[in-house]
Amino acid sequence: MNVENTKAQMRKGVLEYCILGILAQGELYPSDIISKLKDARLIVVEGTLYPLLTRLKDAGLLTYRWEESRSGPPRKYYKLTTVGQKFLTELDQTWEELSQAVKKTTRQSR
Amino acid sequence: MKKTLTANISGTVFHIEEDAYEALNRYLGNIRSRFSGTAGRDDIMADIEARIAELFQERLDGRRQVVSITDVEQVMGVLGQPEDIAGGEDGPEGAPEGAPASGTTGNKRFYRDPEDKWLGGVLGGLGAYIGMDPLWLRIAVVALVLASVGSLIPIYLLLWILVPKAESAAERLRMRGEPVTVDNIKRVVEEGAERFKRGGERMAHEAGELGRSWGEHAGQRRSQAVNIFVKLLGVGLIIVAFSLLLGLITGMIGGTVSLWHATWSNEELGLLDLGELLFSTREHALWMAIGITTLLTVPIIGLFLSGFRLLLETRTPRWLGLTLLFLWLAAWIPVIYTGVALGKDFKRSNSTLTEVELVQPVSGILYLDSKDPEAMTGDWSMSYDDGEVNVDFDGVHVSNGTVFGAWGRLDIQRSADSLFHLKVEREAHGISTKVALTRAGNVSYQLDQDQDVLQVSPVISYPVADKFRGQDVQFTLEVPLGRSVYLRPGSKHVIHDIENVTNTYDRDMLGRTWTMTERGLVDLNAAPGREGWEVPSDTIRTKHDPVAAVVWEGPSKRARSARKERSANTTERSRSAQDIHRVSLAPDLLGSMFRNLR
Repeated sequence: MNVENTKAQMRKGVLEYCILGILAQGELYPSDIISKLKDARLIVVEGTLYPLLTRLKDAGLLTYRWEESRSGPPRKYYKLTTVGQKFLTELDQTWEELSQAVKKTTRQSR
Repeated sequence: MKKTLTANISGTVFHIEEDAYEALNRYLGNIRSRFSGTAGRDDIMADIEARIAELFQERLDGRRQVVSITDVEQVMGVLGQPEDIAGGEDGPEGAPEGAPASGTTGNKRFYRDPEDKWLGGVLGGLGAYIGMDPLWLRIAVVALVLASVGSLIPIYLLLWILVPKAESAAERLRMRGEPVTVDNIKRVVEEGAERFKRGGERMAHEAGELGRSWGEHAGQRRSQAVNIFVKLLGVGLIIVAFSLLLGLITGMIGGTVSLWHATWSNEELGLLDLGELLFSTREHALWMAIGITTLLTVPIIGLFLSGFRLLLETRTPRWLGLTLLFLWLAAWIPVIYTGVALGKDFKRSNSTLTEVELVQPVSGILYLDSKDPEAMTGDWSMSYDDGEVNVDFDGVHVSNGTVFGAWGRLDIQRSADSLFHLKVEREAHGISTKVALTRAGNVSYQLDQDQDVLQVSPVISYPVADKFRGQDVQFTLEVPLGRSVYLRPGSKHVIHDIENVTNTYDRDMLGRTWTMTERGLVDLNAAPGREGWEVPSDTIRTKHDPVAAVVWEGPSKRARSARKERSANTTERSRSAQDIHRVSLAPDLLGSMFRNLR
């Protein structure tokens, strides 16, 4: 049992949840998402975000549209789909339950 | 100045320096390969490229025009290493983003270290793995490769193929991490086969890169590859210089020893004395020796210096190089001067021909032998073996102002009349034909005739003052038609390249009787083969008897009776020419005997 693997698994689950959460607040393009995640110290290198976004999109949770940018290449603006919103609501609920469970169990065990 | 390329990244055009382009290309290729088989790879790559374009634009900010390697490195830092990017996708095994940097120690693995490499980074990685400075490993391996005549090279190539390169931070950390575990060994074995397949391609790619950078960066930035080759070249130069030096020293010692050996019987005949015998004066000999030594030594020193310069990057002081060059050029002066002086004294040759009156042999056979040289010099090393005199005549001997040397040679030719003749031609060289003739006349030779035995000495002598000027003596023994000469074993010291019908070599002519025929010298005792006189040289081999003693058991009655008849003849020491002819009348008989013998 490797602690790094466990940590990675936990973080990965949370990361997807957080991306959905961030996009719930509005349409954003990857750099915005990155800066938010970086502020929250959830990711260190940007590269990790792109595979996640693609996977969420392929799962039908996200969609994007192209927008021209004045300063550079056209940008992909991501937003939640209806499926994504539902997914997020479920995750919110699960997160609540989990954090309760964690608090409860870890407090009891200590 | 650097070459730039134009790259279209996500629809934006960038001017990018070549090395930066290479790095970026590798980076993207690496990421792409890690996502092979993942759905949506093209999307991911497009996103990443778009981000790269964005980041470049931010960094260039309108002020700069060209993307440099620093920009690429910065962008790669922001986006993360390929493994970190793919890590999120890899499932349970993948490293979490950024986590390795926080000081994890996974299982230690043997990676090739791309940041500490001469060739493939194998030893850099091994050094990190076993916690040792790779320099020592490299020195050891170079020594082993040299000692094993390169048989270690395939092992290195195998490791290059099998061992993965530590590309991400996580891998580099693992490379230096904990000691090897059973788990690792198992994994290496399991992955070996797959890696071998992929590794072959990868190595070809990396080797190609080495080759390219060797070609392209030779002028500008000294790349790793260039450094390796330069260092290998340095090692090579030092090895060559060392072996040359060794060769020079052994050559000098060997030369001196053999000269000393050749003249061992002389009191106080040094190299210079010998030199004086060759060159016009003692000083000439000395200058020649100094000149030649310098000519040979300076390039070796130069090789050493340049070898160390390449290997250790030490600088040779300019004055040292110039001094060496000057010395080397200057050394030509005495060599050429004395050489020309010497050459002049060899320019003309002349000879004098004398005929020695021979007592005609009563038996019709002249017995040829070389003269016992002891009588001449007193201290030649000699041995008697089986009645044969063995003398080592290779040397030069100087005593009492006289040079002795085994330069006399004897040839046998057909006499114009019915008598044996011995002609002696003495030859020498000199600055003019007159000088050469005087020197030729000064040459002494030794021969003796005792009834039918002619002894010729290969040793000739002349005054020291005449110097070595190609003095030699050519004896020509002329044998009349139908008469014979018996070559005693001792005559091997003096006979040289004697022509005969059967093309028999000198050493195989010894101990046999050779008769002068119309066609030339023939051993009539040798039975004729199917073609002319082509008979194996071992068919008739007598020891000291002029006529073949029968050394085999005759298989037939007829042969035995023939043998009896002949052995009766061989009881006499001396015999007439008729005897030989009589024996040779039965060549068919002898031939059939040989055939039966085989």
